[in-house]
Amino acid sequence: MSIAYKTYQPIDDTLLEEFLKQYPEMIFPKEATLFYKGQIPLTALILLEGEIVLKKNKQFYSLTPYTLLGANNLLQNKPCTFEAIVQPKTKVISIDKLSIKKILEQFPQIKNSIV
Amino acid sequence: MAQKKDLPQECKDCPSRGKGIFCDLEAAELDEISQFKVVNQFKRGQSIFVEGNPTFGLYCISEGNIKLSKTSEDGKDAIVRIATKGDVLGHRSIFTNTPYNATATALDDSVICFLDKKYILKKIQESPSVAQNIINKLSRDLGASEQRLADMSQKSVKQRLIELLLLLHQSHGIPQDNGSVLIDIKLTREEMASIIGTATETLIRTLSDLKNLDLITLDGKKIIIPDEKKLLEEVTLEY
Repeated sequence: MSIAYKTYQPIDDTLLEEFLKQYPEMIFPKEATLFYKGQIPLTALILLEGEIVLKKNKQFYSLTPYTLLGANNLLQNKPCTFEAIVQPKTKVISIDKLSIKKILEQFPQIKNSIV
Repeated sequence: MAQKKDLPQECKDCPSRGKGIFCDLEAAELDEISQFKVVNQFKRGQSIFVEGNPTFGLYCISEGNIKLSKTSEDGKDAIVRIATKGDVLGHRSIFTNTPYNATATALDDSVICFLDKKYILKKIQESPSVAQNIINKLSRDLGASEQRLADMSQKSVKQRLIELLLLLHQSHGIPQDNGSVLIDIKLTREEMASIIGTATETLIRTLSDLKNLDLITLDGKKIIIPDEKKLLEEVTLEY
């Protein structure tokens, strides 16, 4: 049973449309661990459809859709304090390290959407 | 579970320096890669990526051993390769834009560096040596796959097992005081059987045969090769 992980502001529609034009959409056919506790995310992800489960202290949470997972940890090379598991048939946008930096400079309001 | 504090962040400090596809870049370029890469530690059994899922980039093994396996329609796993330090993973999927064609799982505590696809493609355009090294790697991989396919149909289980042991002797062998070599990699009998394409029972029986011929010594799950030359002679005799 998963519950929403804190409250993060979803990325607004206009910004989301911009990201969809520039960055690839990906679908995960199979369940996979995106990163384990103590690891640094490989890219930042925006959840579009499906579910990403966050596991922290033996509790399970659902990532809020249209939030940005892993951006700060990726930029600061900081290990995550939780594990992220993507569920089958989940659709995301993947944003690489260099692009995240530019996005945060261009759209500082997105900081409220970072998990 | 915090990361080990002594993870090699700089490419120039990597224990596998000289074995990877980026290793012959200039110091300034290596420094740039060090800034962009993501370094993570994986424990035994943790997965790096899953077969069928979309690709994010390329992985470079700094330390440890990774098994690559494919799952059949009836759910059976077959190990297609063991990757070790200096090897790269996920490189084919970058160029073909297809999902990962195998699942990568850590066989022991491993340190893996990751570079995203966008950065890799940029690096390939800027540095011809990176492109050349990847082409060399792809060519070697293809050759090895073709050889493996031929071996499955042409060689006996005993031959395939001896060749696997000789390969592991070369890549993971630790010389002992008495002149023998301990194979230092945590592979279960089932995994070994999968690599050479046989049933676990057949593998265990064949290991026992080799032990009775004094070609190997078994110490629990560990395999020790007393004399590599004798093993080599045995596989040559079989042909």
